[in-house]
Amino acid sequence: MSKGFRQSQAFLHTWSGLLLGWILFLVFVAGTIAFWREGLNRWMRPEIARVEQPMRVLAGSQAFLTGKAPDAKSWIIPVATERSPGAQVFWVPQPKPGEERGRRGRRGRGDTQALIGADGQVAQARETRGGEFFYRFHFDLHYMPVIWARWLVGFATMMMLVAIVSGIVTHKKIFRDFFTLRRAKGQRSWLDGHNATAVLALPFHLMITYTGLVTLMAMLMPWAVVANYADQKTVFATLFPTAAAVERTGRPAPLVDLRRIAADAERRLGAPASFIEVSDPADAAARVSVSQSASSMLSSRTPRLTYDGVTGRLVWRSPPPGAAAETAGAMIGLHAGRFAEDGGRWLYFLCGIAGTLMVASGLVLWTVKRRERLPDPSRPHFGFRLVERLNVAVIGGFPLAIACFFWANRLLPVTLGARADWEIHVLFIAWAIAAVTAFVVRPARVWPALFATTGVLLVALPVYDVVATERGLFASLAIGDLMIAGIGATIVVFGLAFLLLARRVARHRPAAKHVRNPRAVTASKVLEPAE
Amino acid sequence: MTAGDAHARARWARRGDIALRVVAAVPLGYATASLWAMAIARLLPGDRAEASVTAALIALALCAIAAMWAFAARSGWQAIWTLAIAAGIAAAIAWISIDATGRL
Amino acid sequence: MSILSLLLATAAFALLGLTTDAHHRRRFGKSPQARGRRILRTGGWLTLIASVVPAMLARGWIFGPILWAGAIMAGAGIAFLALNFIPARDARR
Repeated sequence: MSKGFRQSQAFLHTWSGLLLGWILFLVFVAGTIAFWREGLNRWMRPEIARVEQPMRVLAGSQAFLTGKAPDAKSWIIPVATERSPGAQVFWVPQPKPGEERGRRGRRGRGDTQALIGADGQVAQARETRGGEFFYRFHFDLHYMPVIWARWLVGFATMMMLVAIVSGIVTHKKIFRDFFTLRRAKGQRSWLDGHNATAVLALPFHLMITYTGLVTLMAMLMPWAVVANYADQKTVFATLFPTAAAVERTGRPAPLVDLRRIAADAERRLGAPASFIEVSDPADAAARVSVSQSASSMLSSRTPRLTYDGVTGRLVWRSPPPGAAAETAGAMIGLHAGRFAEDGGRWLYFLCGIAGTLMVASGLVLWTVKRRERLPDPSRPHFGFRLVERLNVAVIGGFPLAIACFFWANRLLPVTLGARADWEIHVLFIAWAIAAVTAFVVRPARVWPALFATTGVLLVALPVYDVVATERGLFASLAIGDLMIAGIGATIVVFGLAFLLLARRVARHRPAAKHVRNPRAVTASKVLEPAE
Repeated sequence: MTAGDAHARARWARRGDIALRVVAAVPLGYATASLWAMAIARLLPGDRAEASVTAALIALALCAIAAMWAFAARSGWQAIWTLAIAAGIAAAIAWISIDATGRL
Repeated sequence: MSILSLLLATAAFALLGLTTDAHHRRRFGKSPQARGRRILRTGGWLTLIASVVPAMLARGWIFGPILWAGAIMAGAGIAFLALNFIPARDARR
């Protein structure tokens, strides 16, 4: 590879990484946390008990929905597992005559959903988005129409992919440099850290970025479908097959016990079920569809069985998908990592942290490198100042905002209206305050202040749990609830890490700069490989 | 022209070159990848849904490759005309194919 | 089997890491010669390829490669930490 090519890719790497790097940082932080979304769904509702009998929850869900929404158009009932807080059921009311076919719109409509707890009753729990917030945020962001957010995140992801591949080709001795770690050498140390976190989990970074694009493929690259289909509906029917719809008869008929159907489905599938969808529940034409759990296989497109809702007879089975559809499904499955239990989940989490550190160190590296080249270090140009302040606001501010979000979850009054939304408002308010501080006060002071505050808040959380809730670290360990205990322990570890980081940053004294030959500095634009 | 003028001209020329490459990478690169998505979806045999999915998966990678090429090309102009020709070929393939056998 | 894959991957990266100047000097006291470097590098790559086998045996054709990807990342990390943070017997840098 010629020097010119490598230089061009080094330039591309720097800018495709930097321009939307802050978005990528948010996506990586939220996405990494989202690997534990089920656990957080439980951890953020400390009042509720662990699910011991999923079938009891299912029976309770059916009883609740029969009472609350017997004439609904459809019910959606997730099958509870011991990792979930229960079953977050929701229903779609019949469209009123003249109204357009019900827009499913945002699933999060408060008045058509409920959480059924371990005892089969509606759970008396604080209203919160739980771990689902992080999952949704990492592609839907917040406070904006989801289409805008997905285009922005999709575009940033493509820039990430370009940054990764250009970073690989530009790097002459990628493996040799991987093993090198020079400490306390300013720019070189940052480069080594960036390389280490990037190369160490390189298979993961490549996978998560490309598969992330695949999850948004229908929106980002619809043209392949447009080339073959004049009508979207036909291709959807092929890729996402369902049993033929049946007309509502208007004759009432009791719905079969869903537990019977769930048991039969799991027997036929040879795997656990995850979603049960009932259409026209109180009608003679009721249908019950059961989907296999995504945690039991790699592909996210799991087999589905449809039963007659009155007799309980199997009427339809989803056909096996084609190779390409299966491949796309496997890629989405790889991204979500639902197949991974415990050890695999931890590996995903650690790789996600590596990715977060890679993005953060890259953003900081940009300023560290350019600071050495500033003609007048006390008056940097606008671009430099902007990047530096954004780094503080995002890398320092967002983790603090998340810590505040967790505290809001603990402290906001249970009776507060729109409580779930307010937890999120607190996150953004805290972030806004941190960001304003980042732009007003000198970075050297704000970095350690933000990290230290984050550390204190995180470390204090499990302490609060022990004192004020029944789900403290020791109580959870005592009943063998490793998920909750694990989350508490992880939060403490992160809190300590932030405190250590704050101390390190506060004590940092820039090394006495030996004046480099200014001509030599401006001439080399290549990412210098290790010597 | 003074040395200062020459220096300023070189700087603006470089900025212009980078601007061309950005245009080549983003709108043109995406268009080229999308047109090749259509061409590949038409050319692949077999089930149409399968062909479309395969083509879309490939096209995502093509976007990244187009961006890399936009910066590796000898000049901004070369980046633009090479991608434009690639886009044109794909458009022709897709057009002829759709014209001949239509869509589902 | 999974552990075996991880051990092989760690060993592979340790060998590859030892081909670099700084680490070779730290552990063996001298710069790597052409022959020594070739042996370490070949050994490293062969061990890396060998680590695929136990991973496939442990988890099959679909999850085997995923397990292997995890093993090589973890192995590289362990080798990195070992090479950089386990003090060399000789204090000379």
